[in-house]
Amino acid sequence: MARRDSQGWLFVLPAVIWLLAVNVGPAVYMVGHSFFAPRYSEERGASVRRWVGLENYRRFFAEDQLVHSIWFTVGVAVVSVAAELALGLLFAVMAWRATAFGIRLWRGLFAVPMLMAPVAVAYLATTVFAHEVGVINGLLHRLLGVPFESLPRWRSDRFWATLAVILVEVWQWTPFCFIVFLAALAAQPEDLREAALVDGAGEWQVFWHVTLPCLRPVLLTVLLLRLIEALKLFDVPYGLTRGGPGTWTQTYSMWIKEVAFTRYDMGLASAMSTMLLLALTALGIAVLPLLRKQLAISEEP
Amino acid sequence: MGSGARRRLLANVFLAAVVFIWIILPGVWTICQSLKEPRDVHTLRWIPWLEYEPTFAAWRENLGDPQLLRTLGNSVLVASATTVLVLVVGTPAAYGLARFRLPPFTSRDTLLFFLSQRFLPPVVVAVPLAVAVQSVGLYDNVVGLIVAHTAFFLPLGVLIARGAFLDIPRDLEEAALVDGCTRVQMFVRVVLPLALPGIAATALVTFGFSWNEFVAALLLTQYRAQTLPLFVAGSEDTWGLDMARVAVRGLIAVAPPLIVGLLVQRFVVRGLVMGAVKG
Amino acid sequence: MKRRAWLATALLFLLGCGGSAKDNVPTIRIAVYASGPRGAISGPFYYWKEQWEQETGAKLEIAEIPFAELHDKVFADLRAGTARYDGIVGPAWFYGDYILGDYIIPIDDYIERGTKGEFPFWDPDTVVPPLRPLHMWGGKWYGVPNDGDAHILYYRKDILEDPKWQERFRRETGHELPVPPQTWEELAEVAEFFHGKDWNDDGEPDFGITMHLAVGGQGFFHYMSLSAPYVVLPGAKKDRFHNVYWLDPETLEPLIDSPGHQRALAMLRRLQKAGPPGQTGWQLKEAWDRFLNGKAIFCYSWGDVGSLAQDTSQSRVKGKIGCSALPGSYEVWDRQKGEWVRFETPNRVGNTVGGSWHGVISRFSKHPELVYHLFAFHAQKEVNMFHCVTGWTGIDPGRTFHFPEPYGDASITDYVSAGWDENDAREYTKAYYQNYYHAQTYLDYLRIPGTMEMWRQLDRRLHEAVVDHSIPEAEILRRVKEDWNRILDRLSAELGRERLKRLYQQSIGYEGGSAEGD
Repeated sequence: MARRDSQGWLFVLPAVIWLLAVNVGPAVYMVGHSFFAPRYSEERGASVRRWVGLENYRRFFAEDQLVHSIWFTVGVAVVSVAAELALGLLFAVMAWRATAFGIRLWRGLFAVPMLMAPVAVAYLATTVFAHEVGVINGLLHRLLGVPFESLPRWRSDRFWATLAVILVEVWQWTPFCFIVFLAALAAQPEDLREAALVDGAGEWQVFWHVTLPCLRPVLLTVLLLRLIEALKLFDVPYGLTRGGPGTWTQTYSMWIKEVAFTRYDMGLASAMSTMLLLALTALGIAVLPLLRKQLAISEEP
Repeated sequence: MGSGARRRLLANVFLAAVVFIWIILPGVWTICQSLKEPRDVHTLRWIPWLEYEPTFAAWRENLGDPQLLRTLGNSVLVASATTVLVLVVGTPAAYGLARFRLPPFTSRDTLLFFLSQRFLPPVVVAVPLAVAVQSVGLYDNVVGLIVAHTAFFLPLGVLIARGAFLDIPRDLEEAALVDGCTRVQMFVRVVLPLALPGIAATALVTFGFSWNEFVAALLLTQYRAQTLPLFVAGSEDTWGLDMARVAVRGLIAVAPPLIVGLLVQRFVVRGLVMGAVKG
Repeated sequence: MKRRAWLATALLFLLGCGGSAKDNVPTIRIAVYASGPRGAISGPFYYWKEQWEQETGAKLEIAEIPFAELHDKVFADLRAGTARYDGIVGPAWFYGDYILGDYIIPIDDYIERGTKGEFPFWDPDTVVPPLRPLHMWGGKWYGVPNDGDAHILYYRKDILEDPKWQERFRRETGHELPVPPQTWEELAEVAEFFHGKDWNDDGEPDFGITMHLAVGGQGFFHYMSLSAPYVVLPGAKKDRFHNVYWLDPETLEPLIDSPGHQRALAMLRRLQKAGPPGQTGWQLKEAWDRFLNGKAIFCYSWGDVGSLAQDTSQSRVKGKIGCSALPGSYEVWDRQKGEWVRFETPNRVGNTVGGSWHGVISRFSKHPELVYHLFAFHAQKEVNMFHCVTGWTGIDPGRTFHFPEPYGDASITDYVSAGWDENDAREYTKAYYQNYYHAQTYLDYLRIPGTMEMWRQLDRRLHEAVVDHSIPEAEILRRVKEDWNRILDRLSAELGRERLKRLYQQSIGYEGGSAEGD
């Protein structure tokens, strides 16, 4: 096939330009801005920029609650993604031998959470996690007889509030893992499995030694995708815990927004954005070999 | 195989239990909450008529709220326009990535560029973008939001559509070229129709993500361009969260993508799977 | 190509929607926090919309903004000068930022013209004295009164005055049950006495007090109200050591870590233990619900509780409530001497905490007169009185005509015909009158740039204090001080320390001099 490769850019260029202009441009602007701070001039509301070097970065590390949000965000991301993958795999394994109708049914029902707006989920979840009259505590109290004083304080205890955020995340995104894994299971070659079974291997052995290795690339990509998304966490604590107790569940993204717009401290917000970009770039470089390998599986023109 | 059948039955029972706790219970609870009077919303009552007197007051109040019409209209507009733009800009790009080497880079490197865009958190982009759209007069304008959403969801769209193009046999294209089509004609007349299921998947996934997006909608709008998620966030006032109100607004906001998604489940699943597996 | 034409049309349509559709009717848009057409503060604007539009021939748009976002949205608009909002129905704590950017316009001229019939008339003298400064800056009026916010104490009159309970209280504690309590210590003792007892005969133990302590749920106002009598030293003038609460007016040093504050925070924790375990996650409505449902003896909060108590669809305590101005303290911390001062009668500090939500006019509005007309319409005696006696409006007493005889020119029948129980209405108005007119000193209002941020940090640190009692009070307050210093240092770097100090002194009406008094 005669390829005129320069023509390819004709197809790709508009999208590249769009992304450079709207995504990359502002991000680069933020990096530059992180070395400045405003000073008001006496004219109305006008402020002039002044160079402050690394001062904005120093201010970030001087504020404990901001630094804490790094650990909180990463911790929640890791725990919830691990749970999503494990549960998603469990459910998928349960469902993949079902009839075609069964698969459609479970898939359809499980698709519900991830089709919902996360912010709506977060607000709706407040009634589930309310202290005495929430669904969970209500059941704990009525069915298990846990007294009011010792019910978990989902919205005002560090541990329980963290767990509440994780639970909502897991609730919403396990279905995503489930659906992708289900498709991957359905697509895997059956003959290998059957050969193994014929050789006298047990179901579990086959699962461990044949099925799971086949799923490995899919597991890794889903892990990566979910991790990226989870690190951006904003909507759920915003609606559910308000970042509380104190600022315990305030994620990094929430802080950037608050610093930028409530404090109107664009220098610090830019510094925080820059650090996040650096961290994500590092993560990207770390997983690049994996991505390349994954892409190599799909066809290369 | 008796044991196989029993195992399958057990698995189905297990899944039914999970779905009941995971999906049905919260759904029913939310509907119950939306039917309660103020004095009942802070109680754990489930069964209407028996445990409390249901009322449609919250539904009436919120369906008659002028904000609903405005935000709903904006959501439809923003999500549709974003979808159209992602298709118009994204499908050619996906095709280019599926079929061409792109000197001086390889198409794989270019694809990595698209992938890398998914790493960007919306808030990092939206903060400077909010400042930028203010200076060009697109603040609180649906156009500003559409531009942002298109950039956010373009990478995913490109990946999904690329997968669709990869599945199309090349011989067809070559035949068309032999018949004297230009590349662009061939793309529009031969390839696009064949890739239609994949493109439908791209469209549906993009629509859903744009509909549900909150951060950019929060930072780039003031009044005219507010979308539905902001209407939901408005359930909270100085008195706190109004439980009946949030239930009604939440249900309204999640209904459209839910209905569409369930009606054309096949495409949505395809889109999500492609976006994940090929990306 | 047809498809392309269709796309082009779609894009044009989009752009068209983006641009504004101008017609001849002048339109104004006001920003208000989202509460819907039947909710607090935003509701009244919907209620009168049609009538106002008919009267003026103009069109009113109500921009509802999620409560948590109101500050960011309003100031994003004002900073950019996009003029999306012609008027802003905001809280008094926005003033520092309003004034700093010169974003709002004074209304003295309009008030003057109002007396000649050009605008709906409201009389500035009808605003109770402690609330007046919240609508003003540097001697000029900027805000049009709408809502008067202040905490008062609500208690179950029927229970506290019940001889059976009084007898039991005497037996257990050895002294009389104070009705109502005069100091926080007395209140705590009564709350503790009733907490855990089934005093409403529903078969379950009930609570002593109910508070809204959730983070982001305005819990810090509870603390402000409670701490004021321990730290605000009454004096003849507002000088460096008297009648100030927030910062040292000479040095801008936060005063939040004084021994007075430590004692107040300990008291907050003590009260919390006499309340429901879930209150650390409650916002206003959830906390009020416990009082309205007859599950708590005390509740100190805004006027909404009194008017909601009259609505039997959500209240079981109509006709059973008593109200008073907030309790005080016999001992006050004197910063100048560095010691506790003991008073003969409790130090009671007049209270104006809350938003006192009211309208101001954006400098960027093209129709400032219409905006003023709207706010003045709502500030008129008849309209405002209707709001005051109606529960869902969220508008609370703060005008002289809200008070029935013997305190003002309203009649108790105004309340009764709006559905109030007569006794409740008398208690309610009496308590507000006491609060506004009988206090030795007032809790001054923080109105500097950065107030929003400072209060948000205070709120968060206080939440840490109530969810984890193992952190010492001094440590919590040290954290607040550290946060505030960081904010003030940043603002000083931006604005200059002197300018910030001038703004603070202006905002509290500082009367200068450092060593007055002794």
